[in-house]
Amino acid sequence: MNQLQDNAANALVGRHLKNDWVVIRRMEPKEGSTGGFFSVCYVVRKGEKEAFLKALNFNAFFQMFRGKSVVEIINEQTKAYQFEKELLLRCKNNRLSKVALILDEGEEFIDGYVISNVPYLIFEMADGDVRSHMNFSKDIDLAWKLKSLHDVAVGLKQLHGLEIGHQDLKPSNVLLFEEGFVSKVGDLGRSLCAGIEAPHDNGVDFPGEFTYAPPEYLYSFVEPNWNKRVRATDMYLFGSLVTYYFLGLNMTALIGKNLDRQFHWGVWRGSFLDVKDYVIDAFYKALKEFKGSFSNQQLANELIEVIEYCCFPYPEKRGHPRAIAQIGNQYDFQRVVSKFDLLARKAAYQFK
Amino acid sequence: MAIIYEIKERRVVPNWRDYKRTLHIGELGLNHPNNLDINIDRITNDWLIAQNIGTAAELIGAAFISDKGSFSELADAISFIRKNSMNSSNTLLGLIDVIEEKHVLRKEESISNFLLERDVDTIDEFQAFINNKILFKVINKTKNRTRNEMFNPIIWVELARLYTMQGHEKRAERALLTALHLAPDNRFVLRSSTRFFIHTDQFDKALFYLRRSKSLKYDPWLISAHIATSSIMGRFSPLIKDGEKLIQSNNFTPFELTELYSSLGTLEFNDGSFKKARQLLDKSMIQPNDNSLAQMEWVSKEDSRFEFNPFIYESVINPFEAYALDHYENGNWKEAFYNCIKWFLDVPFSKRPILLGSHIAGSLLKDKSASVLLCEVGLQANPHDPNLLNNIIYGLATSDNLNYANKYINQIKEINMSSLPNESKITIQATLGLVALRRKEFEMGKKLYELAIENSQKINNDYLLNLAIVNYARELRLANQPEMEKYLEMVSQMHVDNKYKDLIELRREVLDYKIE
Repeated sequence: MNQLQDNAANALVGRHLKNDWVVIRRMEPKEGSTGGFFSVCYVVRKGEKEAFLKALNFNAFFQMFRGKSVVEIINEQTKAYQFEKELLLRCKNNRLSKVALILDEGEEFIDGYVISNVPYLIFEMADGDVRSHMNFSKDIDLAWKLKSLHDVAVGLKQLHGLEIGHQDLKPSNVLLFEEGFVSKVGDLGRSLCAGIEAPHDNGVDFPGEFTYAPPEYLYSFVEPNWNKRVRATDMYLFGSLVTYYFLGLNMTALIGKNLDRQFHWGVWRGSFLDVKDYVIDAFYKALKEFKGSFSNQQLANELIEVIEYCCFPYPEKRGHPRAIAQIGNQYDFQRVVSKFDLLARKAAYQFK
Repeated sequence: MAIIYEIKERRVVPNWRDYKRTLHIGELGLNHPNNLDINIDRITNDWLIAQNIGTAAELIGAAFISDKGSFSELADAISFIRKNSMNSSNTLLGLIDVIEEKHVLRKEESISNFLLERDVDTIDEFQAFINNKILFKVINKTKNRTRNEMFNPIIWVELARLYTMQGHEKRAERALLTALHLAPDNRFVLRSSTRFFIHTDQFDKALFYLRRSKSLKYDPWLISAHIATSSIMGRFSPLIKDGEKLIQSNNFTPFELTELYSSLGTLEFNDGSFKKARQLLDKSMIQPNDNSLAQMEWVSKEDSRFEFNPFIYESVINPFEAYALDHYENGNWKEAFYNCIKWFLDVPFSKRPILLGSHIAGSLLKDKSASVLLCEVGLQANPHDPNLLNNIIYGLATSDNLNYANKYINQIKEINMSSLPNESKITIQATLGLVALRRKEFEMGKKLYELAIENSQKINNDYLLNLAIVNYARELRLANQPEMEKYLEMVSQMHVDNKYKDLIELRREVLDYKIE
């Protein structure tokens, strides 16, 4: 039996799972199906309802980490699976409206394989992620973009309400539902939670996709306060998502574009504290560039205000200054939610 | 008496340019690859699975962030964006240009070693440059930027520099203090502030902000600034040992250490330790910058055992000071003058290029109007500087433009002379004597000139003494005064050291005039 055949995760088609789910067909890994290599995806059905099943693929980990102990890998991945499941169940129990929810979860046993357990998670079926809907030319899809960003901000606020920091917000993790009308935050696989120890949290590394990391991580600076670090990171990732929606580039790329080569994270060998002032200068240039790409300068200014306090290169300075006095937490998303609600409504009214 | 130009001791004080040019010169970097490897496999894979504008943009951004410049998937994504440019943003298209042209840009950047905000080839162009209102516009624009970028220390430094160029020292200081508050450890902010505080004779403040910085002990560029500032104050920097440790650590490139080597070498040179000075100064020339190059040029003129040719260091950006000094010492007045202009355009608040340039123009090239123009420009940034006032009065008086000189004469009279060094006092005495003689107030003029000659003798300064005599002889001759024979005789008997080429030139002129 070759490696592919010796993989219970590949053998789910036609199986009846618990709670009346039936595995209909395998899905080729789709864009944005994070961890596609480490999971096998299926379409499942329960009555009329179709859903998306993600089965954990231990075999892929063995291939990826050759030489590492099998027991260790199974242990690590089981922990990661349990962690994500726990967060998803917490979201489900709290009925978060702007987070892609888990519908069910379980573990299937298939005889005849070296590892016969296949843990799985079943999610709402999304239409895809935002990247397939993107158009970066001036003033196109403004109302839709603002509504989608509002949904994402609500999703992050809901997660923060449960003390969950997403940490891996990026376009592929913004999933579309109802023919693109509703956006939800997906994939909590790299999230961090105040009450639950995350297997991927070593207190130093950026948990999410590194090309979306806030600049401090690129220069190996770690904010020591866990709460601050996690919330400030989500705030940056949201602001960075805003720039992606309008320009096609995240804030990290925009800063890099405006940063002299000698200060780039790939070149600089000093500390973040030594380089941060140059990064701040590049950040302001990036904001100016962002503004230049809008014909509606009023909207540009409103967006820049949000991006500035979300993405300020130094985590300490992120967040709305007034939020500290009013809410006691500068990284609270309420102001962002309200702002995008207003902007989305205005835009919707204008384009009626 | 004459146009003042003299540097007693040069120190390796940081130069203060605008941020953009400072970046190009490379004084702010720590340029070594740090082996950061960012994995973009997932993003590449997503692009291969679904090719749309969103995944293409994501891959291009990721490739740029991870510094992965050439692979087939990236080329395909770029081509996809280009084909669908109507659905793209200008910023994204701009980033594609950056990725594709990165190598070409780097090549182009290294071609020129002259980096000026504005270059000029003639004195007319220089006049046009300083007369226009661009500076006011730039200041306004920068002020607006500080409002929008309140937490950006770089822009506060830029504003301070513009104010300094205009002679608004208090405003400049306020802007710099904001920058220092925002970024107390930043090299650009600290080196700029050091230069500003030295420029405004606030040496204690320069040391205070350097000392307060956590970076000081670990940064050769800051230690060098500390040593130079302490040296101006006649103190020994406690950072000398730390500087030596940094040199021995092998953690820095020769370029990063050039000013530190130069500062330490200058200390040894001033202490009379030729051997140690030579070793350190030679090391400063392994990869010099404009400052260490000028320092070496100055040392070599002070001590002929240091043979030095600044022109062989072709990679140095903005070597104008060293070139101006070298041309001046070799009697190439025109080249020296134009390098002074470029030197000033490089650091447009500095007095030294103006003092040397106006001296060359007025005393050696006999272009009094150029000399006066330079002084006027210098006075914009340094409105109360006694040397500049002296020079402009000398230039105007010797051009018989006494009416125009009056406002400067009134200004110089308000200066507290007791605070000035003896050399300046003597020169100003003689210049006021010249003004009196030209005004036909002969007794007063003679009294002032003779006082200047007497005082030069008292401080044993042969150069000033001879300069005063040569000038006095010329003025007596012009005014046809009975004492002229005596002083012309003194001029003809005068022995002038070959290194004082300006004095040789003036003496020859006065003697030639006598022969006619």
